[in-house]
Amino acid sequence: MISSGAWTLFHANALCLTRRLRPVARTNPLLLFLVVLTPAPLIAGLAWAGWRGAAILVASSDGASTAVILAAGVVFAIPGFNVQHVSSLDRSLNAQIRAAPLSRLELFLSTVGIPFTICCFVLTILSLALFVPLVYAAGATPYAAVQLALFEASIFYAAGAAGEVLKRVARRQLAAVLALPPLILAWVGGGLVAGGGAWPGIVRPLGHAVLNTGTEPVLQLTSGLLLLLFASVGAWISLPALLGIPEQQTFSHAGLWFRVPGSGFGAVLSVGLKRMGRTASVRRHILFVTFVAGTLSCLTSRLLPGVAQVALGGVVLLSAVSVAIVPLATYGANRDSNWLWRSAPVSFATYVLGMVGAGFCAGILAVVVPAMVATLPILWIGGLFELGTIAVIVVVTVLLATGVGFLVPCSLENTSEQVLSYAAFGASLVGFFAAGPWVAPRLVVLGFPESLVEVGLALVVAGLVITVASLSEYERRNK
Amino acid sequence: MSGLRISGATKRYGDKTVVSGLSLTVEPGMVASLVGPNGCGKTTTLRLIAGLATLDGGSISVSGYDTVDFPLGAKRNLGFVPDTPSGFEQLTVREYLELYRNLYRQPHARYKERAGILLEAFGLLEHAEDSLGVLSHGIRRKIATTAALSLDVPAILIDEPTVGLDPEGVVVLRRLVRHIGAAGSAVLLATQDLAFAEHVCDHLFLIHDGRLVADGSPACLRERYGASSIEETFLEVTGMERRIDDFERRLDSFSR
Repeated sequence: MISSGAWTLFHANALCLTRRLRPVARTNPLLLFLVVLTPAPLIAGLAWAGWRGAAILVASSDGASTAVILAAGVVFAIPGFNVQHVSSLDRSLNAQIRAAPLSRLELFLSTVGIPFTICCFVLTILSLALFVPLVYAAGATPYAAVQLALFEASIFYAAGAAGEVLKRVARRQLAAVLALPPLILAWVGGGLVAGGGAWPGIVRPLGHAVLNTGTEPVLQLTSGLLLLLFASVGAWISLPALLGIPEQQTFSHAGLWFRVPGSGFGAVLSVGLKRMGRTASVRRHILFVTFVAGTLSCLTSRLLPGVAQVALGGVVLLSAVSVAIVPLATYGANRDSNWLWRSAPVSFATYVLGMVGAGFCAGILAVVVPAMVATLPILWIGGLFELGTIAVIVVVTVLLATGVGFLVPCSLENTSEQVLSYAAFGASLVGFFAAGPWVAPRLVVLGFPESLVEVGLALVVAGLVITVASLSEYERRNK
Repeated sequence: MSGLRISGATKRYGDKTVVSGLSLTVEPGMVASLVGPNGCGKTTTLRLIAGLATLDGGSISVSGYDTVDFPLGAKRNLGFVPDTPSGFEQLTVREYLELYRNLYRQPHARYKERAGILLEAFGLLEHAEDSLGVLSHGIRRKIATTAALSLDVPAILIDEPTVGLDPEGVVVLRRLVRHIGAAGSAVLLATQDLAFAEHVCDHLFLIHDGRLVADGSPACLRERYGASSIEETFLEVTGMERRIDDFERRLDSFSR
């Protein structure tokens, strides 16, 4: 049961968020319309995709069952890690409230825990919309969908615990690594209980249950999953409850070498970049995502060559999405430095165009280069995607993040705002990548070269971002 | 054991020691202030007491509760006014006060009565339904002060009490702090406003480079250092007198 202190604080935060969004919705009726209408078609689309994919997956080999569950795990692990790793207990509340008599657990639950759990719940519903038709088509028992939901929640919380461990280790709280052995033991133990062995643990029997490709005892599998879930939630919640709020111990020298240029825009951008460079969570986040994307790409190509193409696409997109939180959450280079943007002698046109240009450049530098380096071995082996296509996907992703950052400016450390911005970003990505494959072939048929169509689509997104940024900035300045 | 007790408190940020072996006691009914130049560790000391920063050495207790061993007990007995009010911009003044009261689980009627009196005294009744985000820094300081000083707690911390306040607000705050002290609470301020400290406080702690360099009542300190005001005492104790004299000699550079 959630204590009243945690609930009171969460409620106040949620109230603030709702009120912050009210003017955005009022001045952007189209956005409001989309927000209201998006969930139903999204769930319907997922169910349709699950139904369509069911026949192929059910008819495929045994290897697909493991790959499907692993992919579902990765899809839950990355947001779980991101949300927890970037959130900050100590900066999302003011000093007066933090000095109030709230336990560590209450502080954690109110600022991070409840939004984190809501995020997990929403993702699980979306996942079930995709997988329930699959389970039905495969003729599996209804328990399989519930077991899959338990697995996804376990992975989400375990990834959250891992994100917290990394954050604390970076702040010299080495005791946090003690949370990892129970997680590993639970993974191994859960796998052994469910009859899947230590590696890949519970994944194989769960895949059999979901795709109905083996006879798995329901009780053992459920017991193994519950063990994993309790261990994950236990590790996730015990770190902040036992170790408290980590303090920033060190001063970062990142960005010291930046010279402040003479022009107004250059000066503002330079200061923004310095601040971003010194935000340790952003730096660690990008490094971690690049590492995970590279490792997963290599592992997927070695272990699961049959589904390498799908996995590669997913990993590239996920890494781009993960890194895209930087422009997503750095409205005006950094929300904290808005005063600088406002007071600097920068014209409105320079501001908007400069931000989009900066988003483009930062996107290419921060995303394309590490993502390409990470996925290059696979490109050499398979030659599955052309570099140009990957670059377009990544640039579009980062541009969409910049646009959403203008529409729903969020602060990194506030978990509720972070989750909301992910949702808006996710909806815009789904919209674009659903419309893109429909539009592109029709333009190619008309005689436009394919590469030109791709660049054209990216430019359309850039145009939309400029429009959104212009409107948002105009509205802000005339408020 | 009641009041605020600090014993050998030490706080480091990286290689820099901000508070070094600081020991002091604020008894119930005493209004005291930490006084010192910028960066001397006043705010950090208040943050240590309020549980916003962790001690690297020593101990602190609030109303007998050790802030490390019994942080909730200590916090429950402590109201804190930070130097920069921030956050919760979309809540109205009333909602913020209600949130703060809820977190301390204070009786509704008594807190509401006290907060109403303070809002009226600070001239804030007309802003009661305004969002915090649209209010000026000074008004937000008054609201933070109202929130903390309406609590029925035995210890109060106020960081830079007069910053951002208009003269009327300063008068209200001065009388309020004296009254709260006389009623038995231990009040610790951290301020650079020496005139305010001299008028309000029973005891001053002069801090320099994170260490306690002198303490006593304002009259006692003036007498000890043969100074006519606390400002003079402060300059002498911190060794800043020579720097000020030097500065005055070089003021010609600013002539047009």
